[in-house]
Amino acid sequence: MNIELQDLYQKTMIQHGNNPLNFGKPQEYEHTEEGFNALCGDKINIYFSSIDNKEVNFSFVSVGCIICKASGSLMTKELNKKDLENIEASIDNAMIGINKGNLKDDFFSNELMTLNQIKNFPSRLKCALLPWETAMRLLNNMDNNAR
Amino acid sequence: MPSNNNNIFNIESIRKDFPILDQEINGAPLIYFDNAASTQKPTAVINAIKSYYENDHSNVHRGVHSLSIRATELYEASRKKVTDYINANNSNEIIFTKGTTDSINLVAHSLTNSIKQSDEIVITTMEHHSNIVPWQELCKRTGASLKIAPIDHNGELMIEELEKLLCKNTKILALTHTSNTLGTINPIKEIITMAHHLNIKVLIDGAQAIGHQNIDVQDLDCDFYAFSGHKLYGPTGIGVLYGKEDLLNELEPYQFGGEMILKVTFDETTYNSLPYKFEAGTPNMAGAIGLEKAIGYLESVNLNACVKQETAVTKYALKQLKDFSNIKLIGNSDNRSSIISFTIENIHPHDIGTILNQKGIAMRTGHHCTMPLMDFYNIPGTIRASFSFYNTENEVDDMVGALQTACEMLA
Repeated sequence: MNIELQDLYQKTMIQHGNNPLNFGKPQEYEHTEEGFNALCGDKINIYFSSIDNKEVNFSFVSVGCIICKASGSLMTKELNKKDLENIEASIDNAMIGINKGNLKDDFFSNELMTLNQIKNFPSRLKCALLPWETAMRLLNNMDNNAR
Repeated sequence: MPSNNNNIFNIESIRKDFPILDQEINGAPLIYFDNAASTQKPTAVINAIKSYYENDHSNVHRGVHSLSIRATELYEASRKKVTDYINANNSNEIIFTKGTTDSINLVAHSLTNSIKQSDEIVITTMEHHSNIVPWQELCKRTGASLKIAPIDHNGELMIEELEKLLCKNTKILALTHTSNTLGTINPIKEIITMAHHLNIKVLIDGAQAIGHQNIDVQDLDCDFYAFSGHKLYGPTGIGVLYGKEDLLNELEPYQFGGEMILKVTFDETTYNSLPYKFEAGTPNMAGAIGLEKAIGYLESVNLNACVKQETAVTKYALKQLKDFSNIKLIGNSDNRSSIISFTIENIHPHDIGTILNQKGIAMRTGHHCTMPLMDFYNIPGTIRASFSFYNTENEVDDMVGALQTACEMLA
């Protein structure tokens, strides 16, 4: 088996892709955003709520590939630990890191390093980025509405 | 084990005609099963384009000098070749376009002033986006209604339902000859006859049929037939719109500029005659010359023998895929071409596509520009194998092996 392929579909990716965390539409949420990959037809819905603008809670539903679902699972696990004020910077850094394949474990959890393999499969970058791009758009729309 | 179908014609010799096939992808020999997206080009086509640019290039229909005359002769020889290949009545009925999409857009645009609000346009559930969106836009411009003829779960057109949709208000029926996703070959001759009883004009999207069966537009009696050169082993950027001469004469021009005019003053312009009325601007001469060679190549290897090879490989692949308990075929028509779409339980097509690619196998995964069809089956996409006559049953075995690996890896 090709080593790059093994690295891509390693245990963490398969686990998160097949049994994603924070998966499902919550009964109550404050904001939602839909992301769509026109080229491949993948779709994601992200739901967001927070307590006193601090403890954030992201969840998602996706009709997508393992990489998209694993990325959504890892993203929500990562972001749900953070304060709202740090979220946008985290998403920005993560998107840059996924694109370059250089996510660092001093900033993100070790599990998220799994996404560093995607850079070897350029046609799949859009799958991994879809949850993050959608979450960013959700936050931007929140900001715009607040203004 | 593969049956010995490869002796229908000399497959090894045929494969040598396509230089691109002789390469490795990710350390494995290339297996090209994405022929519905685009076919590969034989050396004869590649050389013809090179030779044209090296020896014969100039603009067509414009100069008195030798190169212009030579380029014009080659360009028009291609039009004659296409005329004979699809048995059009004469070369005025062959309009060179950029491809199938461009051909359909030409008709949809040119009809704008002859469609009124009470008119209806009928398409089917299995259409490619390029045979949906131009008609949607025509309806937006004119206020006409778009009606959709349904299919059943086998992926076959429901002919009786289609018949019910056709009425005196229907102006155009636009449907695909062969579905690019399902592989279904529609009984278009019967459908065209049905539509003509109500005086409805029929446009056939022939993108997936051309090169995979003999096309005789006079026998079909279609009003328009659209196809692309690059799915016929020719270059990209060249396509054809066949139209009955009297209908093309009635249609308004699509684009305006050089070539399509007879006389221009600042007050008035007189349009050129067919086929030039629809070929504004400098055309794709190299593309047309490549297309001429592609048709010549197909004739030299014998299209019927090619179809037999494709059919054998398709049947073999269908048999192999049916052994997988977790594979579901999308499209089960008995009347099918060399296209097979399928899904694998709990595994997304893209993950399969990536693993196949790592094994050197080029297959398309996704919605194949048929999103309404994906909605009908309630799936995000399919994995699609589409074969050509240069494919073999041994290649199918490799695909099956890669699918088994993928299933083990992703479960």
